[in-house]
Amino acid sequence: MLRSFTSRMVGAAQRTNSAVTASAVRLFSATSTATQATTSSTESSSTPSTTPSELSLLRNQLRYYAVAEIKSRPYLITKNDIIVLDRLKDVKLGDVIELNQIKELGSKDYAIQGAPYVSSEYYSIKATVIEQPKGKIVETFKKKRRKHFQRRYHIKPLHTLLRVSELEVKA
Amino acid sequence: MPAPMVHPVLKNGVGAFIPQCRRLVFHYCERSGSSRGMIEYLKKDLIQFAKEHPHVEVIVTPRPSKHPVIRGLYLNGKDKVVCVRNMEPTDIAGKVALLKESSGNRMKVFKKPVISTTESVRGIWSPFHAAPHKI
Repeated sequence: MLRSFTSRMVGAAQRTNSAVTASAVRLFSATSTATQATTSSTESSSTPSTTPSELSLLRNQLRYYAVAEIKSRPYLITKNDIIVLDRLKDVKLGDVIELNQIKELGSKDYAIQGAPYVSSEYYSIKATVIEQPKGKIVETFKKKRRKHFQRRYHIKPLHTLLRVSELEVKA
Repeated sequence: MPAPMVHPVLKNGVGAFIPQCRRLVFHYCERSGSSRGMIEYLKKDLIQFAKEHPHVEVIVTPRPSKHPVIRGLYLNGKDKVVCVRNMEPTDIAGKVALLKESSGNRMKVFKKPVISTTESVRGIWSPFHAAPHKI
């Protein structure tokens, strides 16, 4: 399913012009909910899918982001980002991980929302393991006043750092 | 006036990945008891480790009358020192792995799940450029 966002324009005059021209390009009008309802009802079927024309709209954009799910947690990533995870046990320095649980793949004006995940034909997202450091000591202090109860817990978290080496939208 | 130094923006892992640990120096004392586990590690496990990691320069030097110490030197010029007194070879192997997998950066608290230097793809929200709120 392809969503589009209202494009940002500087100045009110430019904004009205862009609304007129952009409405032809947009599939779902973000400003009017009525058209959104009709278009979504006609286009959505039991299994919502992305047509090649919709994908080419996304491909014509310049920069992309993705919401990747790693170990059941979402990470909003672009290329060259560092993802900070809890330590992965079965991974070594330099390993390249292909991310295939992508909830959303988008750009400035359009986004593909997965149900629950975006089909892996549309993207190629890879991450390299660059470091597996130890974090700084984190102290948790609990106290119940006037009850003679206080505890200090110290943990030194273990992390795995992944660098997003590739984030591409395929035709 | 000489030209200012231009530091390249390094993104380790994007094109090629370069392991950050450059050198590991093992100090031990031949006489003292705190080096017992270290000497056993040097005899048993170190050669295998050095073969598996050819990018790491491994140096073994006696340091008499001091506790055994492992010093890791990294590509950013910083070093990390770990004292392994009275440790068993398995624990020492754990410390070696810790030094090998780190970069030279200090240990820090990671507050956010993603560290990014790119601008936001969709831009910062502004009330003047968004569709008006409807109930």
